[in-house]
Amino acid sequence: MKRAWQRYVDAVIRRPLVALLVALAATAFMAAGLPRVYIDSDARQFLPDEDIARDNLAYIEEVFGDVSLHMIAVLRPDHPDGAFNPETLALVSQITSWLQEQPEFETAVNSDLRSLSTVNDVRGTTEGMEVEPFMELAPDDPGQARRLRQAIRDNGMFEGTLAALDDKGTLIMVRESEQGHADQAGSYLKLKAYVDGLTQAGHPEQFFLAGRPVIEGIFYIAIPAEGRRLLPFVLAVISLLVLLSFRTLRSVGICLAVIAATEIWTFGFLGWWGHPMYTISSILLVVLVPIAVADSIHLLSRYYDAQVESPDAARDEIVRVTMMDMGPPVLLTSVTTAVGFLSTSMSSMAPLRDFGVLAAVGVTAAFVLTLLLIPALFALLPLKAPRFAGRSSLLDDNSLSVRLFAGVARTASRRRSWVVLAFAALVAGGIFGGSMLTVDSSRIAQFPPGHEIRDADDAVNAHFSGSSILDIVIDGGSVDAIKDPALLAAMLEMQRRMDELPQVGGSLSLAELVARMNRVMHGDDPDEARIPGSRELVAQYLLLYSMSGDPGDFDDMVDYDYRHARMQVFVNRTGTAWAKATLEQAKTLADELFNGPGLPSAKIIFSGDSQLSSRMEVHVINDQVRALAICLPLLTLICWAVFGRFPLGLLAVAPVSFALLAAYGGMGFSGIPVDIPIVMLGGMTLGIGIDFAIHYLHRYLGERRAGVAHEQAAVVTAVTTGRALFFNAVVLLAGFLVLLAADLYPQIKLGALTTITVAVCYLVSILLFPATLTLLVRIPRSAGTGQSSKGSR
Amino acid sequence: MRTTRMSTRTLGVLAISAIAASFFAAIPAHAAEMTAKETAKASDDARRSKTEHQVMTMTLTNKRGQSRVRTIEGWSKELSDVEEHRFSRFLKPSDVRNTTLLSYDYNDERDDDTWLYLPALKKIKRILSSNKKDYFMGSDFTYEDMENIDIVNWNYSFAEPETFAGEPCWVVEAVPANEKEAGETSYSKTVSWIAKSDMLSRKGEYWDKKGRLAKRLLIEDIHPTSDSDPRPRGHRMIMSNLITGHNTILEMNTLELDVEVKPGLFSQRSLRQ
Repeated sequence: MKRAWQRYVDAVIRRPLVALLVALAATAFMAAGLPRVYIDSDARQFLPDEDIARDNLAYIEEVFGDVSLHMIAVLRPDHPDGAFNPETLALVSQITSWLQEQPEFETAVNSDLRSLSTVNDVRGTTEGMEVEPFMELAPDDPGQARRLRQAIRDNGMFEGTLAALDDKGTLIMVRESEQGHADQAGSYLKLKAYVDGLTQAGHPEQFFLAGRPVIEGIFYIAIPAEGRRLLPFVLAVISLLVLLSFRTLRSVGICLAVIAATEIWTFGFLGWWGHPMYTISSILLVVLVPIAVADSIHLLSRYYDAQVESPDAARDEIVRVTMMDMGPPVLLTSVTTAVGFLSTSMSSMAPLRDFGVLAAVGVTAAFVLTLLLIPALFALLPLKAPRFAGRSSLLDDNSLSVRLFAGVARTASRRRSWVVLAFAALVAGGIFGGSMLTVDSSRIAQFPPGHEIRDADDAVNAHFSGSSILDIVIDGGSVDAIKDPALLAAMLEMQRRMDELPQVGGSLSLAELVARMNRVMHGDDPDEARIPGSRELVAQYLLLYSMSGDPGDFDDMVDYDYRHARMQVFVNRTGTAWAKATLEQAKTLADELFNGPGLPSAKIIFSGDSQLSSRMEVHVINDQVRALAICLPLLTLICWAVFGRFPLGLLAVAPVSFALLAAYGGMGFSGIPVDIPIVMLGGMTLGIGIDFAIHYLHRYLGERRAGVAHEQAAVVTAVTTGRALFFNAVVLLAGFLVLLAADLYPQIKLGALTTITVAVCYLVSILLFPATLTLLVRIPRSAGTGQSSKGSR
Repeated sequence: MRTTRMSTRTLGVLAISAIAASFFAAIPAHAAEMTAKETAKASDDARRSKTEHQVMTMTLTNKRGQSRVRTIEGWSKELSDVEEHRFSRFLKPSDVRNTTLLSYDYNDERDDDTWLYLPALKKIKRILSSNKKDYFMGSDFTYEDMENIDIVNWNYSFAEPETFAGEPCWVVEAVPANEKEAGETSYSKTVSWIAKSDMLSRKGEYWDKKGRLAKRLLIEDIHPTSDSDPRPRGHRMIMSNLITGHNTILEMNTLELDVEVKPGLFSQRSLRQ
């Protein structure tokens, strides 16, 4: 192994241009994959193929078509009649007409486009019934507008959707067309430009865009935007840090070259791989920068140190020493980082899996590129005067930083009980905080407060029935089963009971429509708002409606052969906890009202936002547990193998374990919920954080094996490796802190938490290791001379 | 395309056959000299018979391939140029059997009158609703599709003649002639393939306001209505909504023209019988 490595290093030193050309050719090939990268922001991708929520969604879409709707809330809070004034209603009519003209929206039937202008009102008259749009033409005077509001109230079915509960607004809901679905970002931007245009034209109404296609459109736009915005920033920060550390432009150039090539390889790989780029993978654009540069920093550091140690050595010799010394640890840390990320690739969620694979590819690419580019560039460039000229050993340096690092190591190894006690407190706190952890995998939670989609969601939840939908499909099992009065009565009862829940703003189903028709056909008698007793009458009402209303009026409530009915329950509280509670309640009611003795039999299928959100929670927790359960033992094994003793393997994973405990405990204490990107934190922290322990232990054990006593070994390690680790940590922190400037909330959270975990990993390495290693490592006295090795890493 | 507004939602079963109807006289001899407008009018004129009786199977199929099948028997009577009465009774499916509709359609400013009898409710109810863009009985035909040709508010032009289903056809395009009509209609353009041999329409295409080909009508199974009546009519019509993926097939099991209609059929009293 060592000889092969030696041969490789010699070959690169002899023919550096060949190495550069190989790197260039490979980069060009990977770059050709970049145009193939495409984005997928579909929420359901986060669920495994075989997940019940995905099955149910596919089923409901099979029966009822695409069930996600754009919601356009038109609010007029300052008007005494709210939205129900002639001007606002004229505007609603105008928006509806505009939507009908746009190919991005499906408006063929009324259930595709629900607005005051399209939805039919079933009204009782003295002689019979009347089916007409609530608003065929916008009213001319305030009285007419108020009567329209009253008509919605009297009808009852659309209270909370077509009319805000407080009269302040009206909601327009429109399905996306195939063309719109293919370009959700374009559809969203078009819609947004249109309503912005209305505002600029002086309309006093407020417009809010919500609904799943809008969220996905915004995600689609946010992904490239995040990368474009944050990447230059993180590059600038890292370049500055590298420049400050090595004080040469070439070090910056080398790092930037490695970073650029790593990004190209990683995302080019994604293009060739053919998988889509999911939202969370966009984080990699930024995260890869500090990770890619880590190997280069170690090599650069060693390169300059070697020049300090051997001022007279030839260029090739310096390069050889650097590469021979740093090859093994760089390989080991790259492997462990990749393993950490790969643990995420065991996830049941495709975007997390792909993130893990991509990150591992990125780490590997950075490793290969570092080993190709750096020796070749070192071999081509003339030696540069080292930064610490005139100093023969780092230990001779009496600078403040060396005294500080040495002091910390000494104190930690002398006041062992305090350190152990402090970390025990950290663990206890972490466990306690962790017990308070909550999970929120809702999509809205991925946007920071104040984001337009959060505002829109809040507005829809405050004024209307709710922005999240729980879909309940009642499968009667056979053609015409839905016409069974007992089944419809059970549905109506379920709807009534669901409506009583505090988080439910309203609901809609065929049962309600049948009850409405029964009332209308009985002279609008409120007591007749119930399901009629005869199946024939139900069938005749439905036939009558199909002839009187439009054919698509309730396509989203019942399927064509009356086997399936759909109930939409609108939930006006955001978050997984509410979604889960709503789903649980619905399940309880379904058990109570269906399939018992004397009850109608039907299969009840749950879907929609609530179901998706609840299922994601399950996967988020399982994935996190699985990632840790696989990764921690694996890394322990690797470190056991490398360091030769099981307790050392355990100790190596201690910093990352403590760091994760601190992060999760902190989230528990501060009420930050766990969400999907946080699952990535586990693997990422393990992979990155373990490097600290490896570098530390590598150096410390080397010292001990050379016969150095514990405290001295700890001090040497602190001022050499410890200092390099400090720099490594600073680079990582700088890279992750850039995520705080992200638009998407989870990236911000991920940035903050990774920052905490990196910091804790570092602190554990420099404090806990000196305090405890003396107990774990006993080197026989005869092993060495007691002399410290040279102060290079 | 229409001359007047058939504004009520009625069970105008018979009107559908009018789409396929055509003038059976020796029009083809003159057709070559006719303008596009006259050709369209000639094809449309043929639809009229004083009375009609039919038994029809209507199959509605959605894009997922699920179907609703209804059998309806109907009579119609043209009282004048502006007034037509229709009576329709559902025969199948069984749960709506004997549901009956009566409508008086006025091709002038009056609102149409429609009464419905639901046997399970044992009551006659009057239905009010109006919009020419509305779909007819849950089918893919709108009331507009079934209206008479409107030579005032639409402009007609010839496209290149084509052979369709083995028949040389005039291809006539129609577009709204004024803004009012453009606002009222669902279509930006319609195209008809009119067979030169018998002036019967074989195909129709309907373009929506987004400029998309929205619907396509095929008229098939054209033959005399009976051994004793040589007037040809389409006995099978397929209207496909290319946007929604929904389609309607109308099959005439029985089609009789100018039949004797029972006196008093077009009255509310007959709804219950």
